[in-house]
Amino acid sequence: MNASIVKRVSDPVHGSIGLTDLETRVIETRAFQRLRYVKHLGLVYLVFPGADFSRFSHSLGTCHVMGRLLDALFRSGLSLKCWDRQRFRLAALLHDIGHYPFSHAMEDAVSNHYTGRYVVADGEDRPLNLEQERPFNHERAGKEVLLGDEELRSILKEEGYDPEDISSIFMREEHEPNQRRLASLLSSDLDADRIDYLLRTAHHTGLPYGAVDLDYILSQLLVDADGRICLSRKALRAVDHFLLSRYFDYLQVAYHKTVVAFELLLKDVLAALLRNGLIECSAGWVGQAIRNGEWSSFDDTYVWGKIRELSLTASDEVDKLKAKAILDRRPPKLVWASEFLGSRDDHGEHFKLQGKMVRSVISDLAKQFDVPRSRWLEWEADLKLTKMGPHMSVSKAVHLEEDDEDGLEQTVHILDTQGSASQPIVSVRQSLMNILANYVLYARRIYVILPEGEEGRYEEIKSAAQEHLG
Amino acid sequence: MDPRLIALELFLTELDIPVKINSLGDRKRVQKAVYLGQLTGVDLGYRFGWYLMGPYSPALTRDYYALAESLESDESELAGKRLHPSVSQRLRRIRQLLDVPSEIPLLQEDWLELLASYHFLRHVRGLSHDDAALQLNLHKPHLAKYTDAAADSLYEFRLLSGR
Repeated sequence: MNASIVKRVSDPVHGSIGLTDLETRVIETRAFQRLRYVKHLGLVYLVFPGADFSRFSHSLGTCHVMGRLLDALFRSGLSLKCWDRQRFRLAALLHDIGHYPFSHAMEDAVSNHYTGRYVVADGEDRPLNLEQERPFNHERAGKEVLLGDEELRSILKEEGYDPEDISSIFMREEHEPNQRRLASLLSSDLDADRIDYLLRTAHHTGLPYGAVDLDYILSQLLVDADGRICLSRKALRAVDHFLLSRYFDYLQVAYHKTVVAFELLLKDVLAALLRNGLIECSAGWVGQAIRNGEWSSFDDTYVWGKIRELSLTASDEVDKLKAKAILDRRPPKLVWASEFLGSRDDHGEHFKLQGKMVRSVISDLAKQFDVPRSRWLEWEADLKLTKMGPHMSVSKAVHLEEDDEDGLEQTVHILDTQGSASQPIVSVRQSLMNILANYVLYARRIYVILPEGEEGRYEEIKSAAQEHLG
Repeated sequence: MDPRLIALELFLTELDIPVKINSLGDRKRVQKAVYLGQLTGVDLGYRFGWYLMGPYSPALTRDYYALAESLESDESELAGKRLHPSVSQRLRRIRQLLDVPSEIPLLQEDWLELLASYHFLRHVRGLSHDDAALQLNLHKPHLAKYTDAAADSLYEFRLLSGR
């Protein structure tokens, strides 16, 4: 069922990635080449120097893993046409095509900037062009690239693939149950995107959390009597291990104290770039940039130039300070942190109370040390090992709430001992996830950024924060 | 509070939809109202996939939980803020669409599910009226008999065109 592999690319994670003629042509487009200059992990490389790989290599890896997942399902008896195999590989290859420079940090800044334009203060009057000034998330921007980039669109169309159909896979718009299940290979707890992410991040950071038994997991991939994609019971340990690895990867990489410090700083700087008109990223602009080709140079390098410009020209001293701090690699300092494991059932009540207290303490500290509120950065996270909790029985699935349904669709399923139906891994008593899915890691931190020459005050501020919050 | 959450709160208020998420019905009402509200061109940036109860956005779920939490702790950030007049005007235009017609015995959240699902199948999935009605009949038999009324309403409020 393999479409012919016409080209092989050497990859440090997967060894050799085979590509079809159509995939090769897609990769050669300017819109795809742009991904070489969008780093997958934002500013993580400022802490882990090797972690500077791009969305280009990740996209190739995701396409490769998707192919392996589909092949494994085909070997397990899933009826899959060559055509569909190529459709899903293309969706995997193109799933990040709409990512902005600095990825999620930019997406967040764009969302807040443009929806913020819908709100005015009493008495404020300014024009608003609703058709143009609205946000796209990266998936919607990706759809726009597929539909609006003439070079890419014509290649897909020449081969008979509908760009809208490809985007509907990574946007989860499929309504037909079997297609939705296959689309979950690109969006679930154990999907091609996450598998490549985990392996690639571990490889490039040098951290040991990527020792995932991928070959074994693939060999145990099955389809249950309802057509749901699942794994045999023998794969239980390997899946537990994968989910734990992902948890530790988050803690060690995404939640690393200096990585978080830079990400918070970056979000503020990107917001300042948008506020000051140094960059434009409205839906209207994105559509136009795709059509006129400007999109292909809208990458990290472009935004670095704008950050440099902000550091020199910003009228607001705090904007200038933050832009300069990123350029000089001077992260905000951590002055207080809290981390605890709580039960999933109490909905983080203690965490919410803590949040209120922390915000009030930040205001007090800002006054006490005469440091403007805009120089204080608060971060919080609640990390779950699995999308869904352990208490949902399969019978409850008929009364599913949508929040639960999202979790159920995304959770790895394990074939039951009778070998016909499958159940979420969190319901399998022998699984570690059955216990660990009960817990949530709650984390909160306060950072502060001081101008050059005032760094000596950090210790004093840290002590005061400790005194207030323990 | 993030500007996005402030916009979401004011958006729901303009549509007369309570920012209350205690029950499934409450959450479904918010999901479908935002889906329909965005069709007026007031795009909050939420993208909807197809789920058991029709269009659903996981990002919106995250945001309405965050909004509810923010409102619990501090409403002062909303003081003195309102929607831009052109945003309010567009949303107000469909406010009546969200009210269940008197002859239809459905709860508001179910009516909104029907409107949003029919729209998604027609507009996003590109199905004909008959095929959309067939899908609704298969997957939502309790709502399907009101499909024609939902279609009429969506055309009347110009959220679907080219009948």
